[in-house]
Amino acid sequence: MAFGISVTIMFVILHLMPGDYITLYLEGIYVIAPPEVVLAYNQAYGLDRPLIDQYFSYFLGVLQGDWGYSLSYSRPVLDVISEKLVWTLVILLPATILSIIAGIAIGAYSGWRRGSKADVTLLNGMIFLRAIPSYWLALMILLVFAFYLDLFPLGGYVSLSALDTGIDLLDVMNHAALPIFTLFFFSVTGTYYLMRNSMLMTAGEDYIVTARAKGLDDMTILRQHALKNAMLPMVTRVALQCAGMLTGSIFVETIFSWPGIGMLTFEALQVRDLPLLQGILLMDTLIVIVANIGADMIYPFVDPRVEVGSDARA
Amino acid sequence: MIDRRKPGIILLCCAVFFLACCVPASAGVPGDADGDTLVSEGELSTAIQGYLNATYAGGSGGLDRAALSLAAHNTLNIPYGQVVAAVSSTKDLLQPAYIDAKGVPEGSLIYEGLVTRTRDKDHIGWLATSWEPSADGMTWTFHIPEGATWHDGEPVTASDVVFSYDYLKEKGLKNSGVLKHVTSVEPLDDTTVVYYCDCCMPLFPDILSTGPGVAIFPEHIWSIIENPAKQSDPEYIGSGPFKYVSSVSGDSYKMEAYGNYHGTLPYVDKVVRKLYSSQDAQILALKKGEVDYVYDLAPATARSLRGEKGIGVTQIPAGGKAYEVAFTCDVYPANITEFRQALSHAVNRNAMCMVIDSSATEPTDTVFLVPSLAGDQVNEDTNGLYDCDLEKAKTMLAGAGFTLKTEGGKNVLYGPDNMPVTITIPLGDKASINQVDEKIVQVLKEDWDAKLGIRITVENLQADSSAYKKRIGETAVHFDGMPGFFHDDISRLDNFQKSPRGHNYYHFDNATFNDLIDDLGNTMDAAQRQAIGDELQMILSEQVPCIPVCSMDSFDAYRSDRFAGFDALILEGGGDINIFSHIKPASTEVNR
Repeated sequence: MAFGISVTIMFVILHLMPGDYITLYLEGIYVIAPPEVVLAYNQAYGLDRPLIDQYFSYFLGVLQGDWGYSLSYSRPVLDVISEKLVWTLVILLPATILSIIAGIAIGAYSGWRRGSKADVTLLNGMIFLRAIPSYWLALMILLVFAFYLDLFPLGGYVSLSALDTGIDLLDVMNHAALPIFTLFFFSVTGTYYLMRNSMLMTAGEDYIVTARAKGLDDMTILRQHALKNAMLPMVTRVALQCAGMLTGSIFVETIFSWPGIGMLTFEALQVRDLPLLQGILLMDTLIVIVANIGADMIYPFVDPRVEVGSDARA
Repeated sequence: MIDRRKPGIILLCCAVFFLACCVPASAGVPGDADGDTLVSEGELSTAIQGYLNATYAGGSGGLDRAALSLAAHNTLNIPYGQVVAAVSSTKDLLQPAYIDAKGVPEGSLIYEGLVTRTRDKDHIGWLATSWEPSADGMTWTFHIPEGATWHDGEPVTASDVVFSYDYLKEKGLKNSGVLKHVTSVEPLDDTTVVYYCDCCMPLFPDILSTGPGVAIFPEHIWSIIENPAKQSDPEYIGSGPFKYVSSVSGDSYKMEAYGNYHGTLPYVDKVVRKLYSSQDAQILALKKGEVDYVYDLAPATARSLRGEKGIGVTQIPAGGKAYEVAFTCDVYPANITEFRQALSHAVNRNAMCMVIDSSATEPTDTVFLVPSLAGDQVNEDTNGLYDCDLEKAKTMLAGAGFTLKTEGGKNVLYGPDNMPVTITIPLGDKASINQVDEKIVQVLKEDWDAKLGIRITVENLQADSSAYKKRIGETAVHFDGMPGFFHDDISRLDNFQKSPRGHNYYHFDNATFNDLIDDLGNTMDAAQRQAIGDELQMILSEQVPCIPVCSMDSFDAYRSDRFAGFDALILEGGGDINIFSHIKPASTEVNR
């Protein structure tokens, strides 16, 4: 249902835009687009048909896996997105997993040690990290680690040797390291803040005081009682973070020339490839929906009090 | 107590992962003997020795090392080395896929059109060796070389040329529209082909070679491809100087010199295009030596590279955009010719160049054409007519019925309708790149607003190019920032013709001008064409539909310690196609 509404909204927005996007796109190629070429494009992409006809065929097409045709790639949108999505996941998954682990660990420690020197240092460090403009941070990481220290390549996902020897996993890892590192920095602060706040609230709960009164040691309280409860808000956060980072990786992918969804979005915007842009937004919507459903499904396992589909008032 | 070591251990694990990724990838620079960006002198000697053994049967005949190198590069024309060029977007990597989208770009190394256009507006043979029009300009005959072969060894024949035209038309490919006046293409023999047109086509080679040009494709490959929109040739078989070797999707692709090329064999053995999507990364890669050539640099970036060891910077005159203050000639007050004429003396080009970038711009003193590109096609009598002289502008405005008054210490210009003159200028589209339009407005306000009393308001439509395009037809003044090559030939003056399709960019409609453009399109004789061109420029100088401001240079940078020839080639007017075909490794003999 939500996806259907999204498809409709995308279509309406696209067609509410003033002007003729085919002409705009072609002006990027021809400078002055010949009317004959504009006509041929409109016919090829079915834009000469009635709007309602276009809507239904687009809607049905989306449901059947036909998400339209990219102007700049001359390929089906879904094919292009699928190819790029793989490369985005290559950097997104490790970065997300690392940032979640690190964010939870550091956030929990920081919250548990509220007011300590370690907490203050970590908190200020995270605030500083959060305040750095992401574009600048990515550029500085590139400059320091790839240019001056020469530890990593400056861009792409493989070395030129891949043109002769094929793609090598170690080579890809070497190229992926900096984008992962940068994405990690972008997202770890959010997880840290949430975990720290959650831990602060949990640490003041009665059952923690009771646990202390029972004489349990700090580690046991933290692990058995505080951490489990403080983790609850993290489930939703983690699910949405996965979805959000997909488009949030535009800067990282552009600076590191990583050919994923982020760079695809940037290119689609640059060349005004609206069918492709529309497909990317649809994919993002789909991932957010799936991530939310996933969070709902996981929640009962983390918190047995919650049951999917049950009415809390019953 | 919480175990304080745990967070530390987790951080340590992250660091270990990070450092593990630092391990350099398997080096494996492909076969040094085939050439790479670090080709040693020893490798070159080996290549030359092979030649000598074959030719002189074991003796150098007294030739020294430098002479041998010279022979290898210049006399024997052995392709050598690898140029890595940085590109900014994936679509620039996909040049071979242009059969459906775009025809063939001038810089394509794999595919060829029949002719290509050089920077000095000459047309040179690409696949064709020669060509000639009929007297009426309706028939064009092209000759392709005997012995030319596709990259898979099949011969290139006239039937491939015929097929390419038929295929474009039959499949309804998007680029077929540019050949709308071609009625048929017929082979005369294996190496001669004739294009029949339904009207006089004096600029037919231009149509074939620019905007973006029409490629010739191998019939034996493409005739079995039913749907070129969804299928392609995975081997990219073309007839150009380089043949496709391999590619990594979304990252890079590699070509090597085609040994049986029908034209001049390239000096460079291999060309690699590698994607670096940000210009910052491109520059770092150039400095680090990962790439040899970057193009379309911002002027400030190019300046920062000057003086860098091992890096050369090429400044291409008028290689960027040409800017102009354009009038909408049917909107008040720009509908008053005398008003436009007066304002032609109120545009301070030098000040505008200073504000935009004095080291990368050249004021345009003509009525439309850019002298460094159009050369002797510029009508000298129209040069310098739009001198900046505000007193002259004031006098001319007064003569046209405008009154300049001073109110509250400010100048206010009243029109013939006794209302203050206000001009709204929309900002956006091509002239807004790098805020050039805002810089032009800044200078105009100082003169038009403060001194001539014309109130200027600005409408920022940079985020909505559709709205901008609509708005420029409603406001008296707007800015234009088309590429410089749109100001390079008298044929470009058709921008000012009111065509059957409707208004031109300036809403300029002059019957004599329109007729002369028609005449130009039907005239084959170069001298007659120039005479018409002179007349057209004279009309523009009187009618002033636009006031040219300046042309901007473009900048490329390259590893001068590895390759030579970029400078000379670009500045002497070579076309894109020739760039990689003529770059030489910067070996000892070249440096001498």
